[in-house]
Amino acid sequence: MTDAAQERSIKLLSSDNETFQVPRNVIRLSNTINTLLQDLGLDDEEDAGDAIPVQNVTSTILKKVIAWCQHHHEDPVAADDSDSREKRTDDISSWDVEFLKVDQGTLFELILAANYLDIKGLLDVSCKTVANMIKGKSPEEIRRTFNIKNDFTPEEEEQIRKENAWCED
Amino acid sequence: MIIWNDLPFELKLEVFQYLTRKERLKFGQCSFSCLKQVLQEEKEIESLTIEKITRGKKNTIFKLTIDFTFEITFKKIGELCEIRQSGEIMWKSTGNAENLAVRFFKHILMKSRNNLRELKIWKLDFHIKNKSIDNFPLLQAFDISTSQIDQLYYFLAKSENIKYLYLELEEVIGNAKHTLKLAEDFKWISLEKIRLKSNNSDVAMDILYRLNNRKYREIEVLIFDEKFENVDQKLMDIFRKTFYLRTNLKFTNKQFIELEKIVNSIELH
Repeated sequence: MTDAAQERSIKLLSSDNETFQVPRNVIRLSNTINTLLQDLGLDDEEDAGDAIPVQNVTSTILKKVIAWCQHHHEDPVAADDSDSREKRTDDISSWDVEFLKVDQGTLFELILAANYLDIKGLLDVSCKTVANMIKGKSPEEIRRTFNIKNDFTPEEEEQIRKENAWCED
Repeated sequence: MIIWNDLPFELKLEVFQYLTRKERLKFGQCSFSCLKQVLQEEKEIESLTIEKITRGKKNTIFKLTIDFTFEITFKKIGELCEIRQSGEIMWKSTGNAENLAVRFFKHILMKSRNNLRELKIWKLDFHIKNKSIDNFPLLQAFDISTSQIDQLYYFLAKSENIKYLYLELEEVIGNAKHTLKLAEDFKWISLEKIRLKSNNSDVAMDILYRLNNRKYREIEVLIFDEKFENVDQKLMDIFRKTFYLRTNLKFTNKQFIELEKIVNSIELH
């Protein structure tokens, strides 16, 4: 990517048709966008051109994603640590902790968006935050936290003979 | 609003990677779908123990043990077995097995037969018909404790890749001669190690005789039979005919100590 390309802006179009102008060097954190621009030969174009549709991400979430990229775009590139490093969850920066103090739906949407846009740092920190919501909790507390229905119910046991053809043959 | 269950499985895995194994398994206790999610990701689990707990005929449930223990209905275990990639199923039956438990166990066996590398059946006290059992292509270790020797045929005749065979035959009932006749053509071509424990010397010896002309690396024979006396010559004959290689031949009864010396002094063929 040339210096000129780094200085220019990219337009992103959210799923609810809101356009966001994002500095190229900010959105570089998204491998999906990088690949798209490179594959289409648009990386060296001076004109921002048409907005790139980000179909799976709403404007609310896209705004958050861009904010995250804005804060982190000058972070040093992390080495590929897929299996080598300890999977810690206590190393989330205070900025990210505050950033991710959102309702659960937003947090999961951020995970989906980070995955779709292939923004590893955002995906990691979001997943760590969810993991921290699980750690130290009993199964009942986890159920309450994530609104998980306990399907190991006594009532189901009562129905079990009727439900299973294999045990009635 | 997006909830946990809306996340695709691969993203749930992204979260699980930050949990310890214990935390993941605890998460699995939340619901059956959670358990499946965790087990699909859980590569370390190699064993699964299922224990029947009878709570009346209509409410028979089973205890599933991984690292922790909780109770789970048999339907769910049946489903669970489908997702297993490999491993071990251990069946423990306490008391008389009822029809429901038998059907359940057969169901698991059939669901898992293409995955099982190891199978332990402790106190198999019910009958499994031939038609219920098919080939276990990956089964390498088979450990069975049963009083019904007829069962052996159904398992062994169709599992040709067994390397490690552990038979515990106590208080043997059933038509042993008939079964062993059927078993004459067992294709135990992969067998490397046998441990045979029996309190019925006739049956034990008969089985040993069936192993004729095989080259096993290790054989352990434990025979507990108070009536097993004055058969030194018979046993000697069997071993002369049967084993080319012995590296670990053991008898536990004191009366066999001398015999063991004699047998081990036989020159290897």
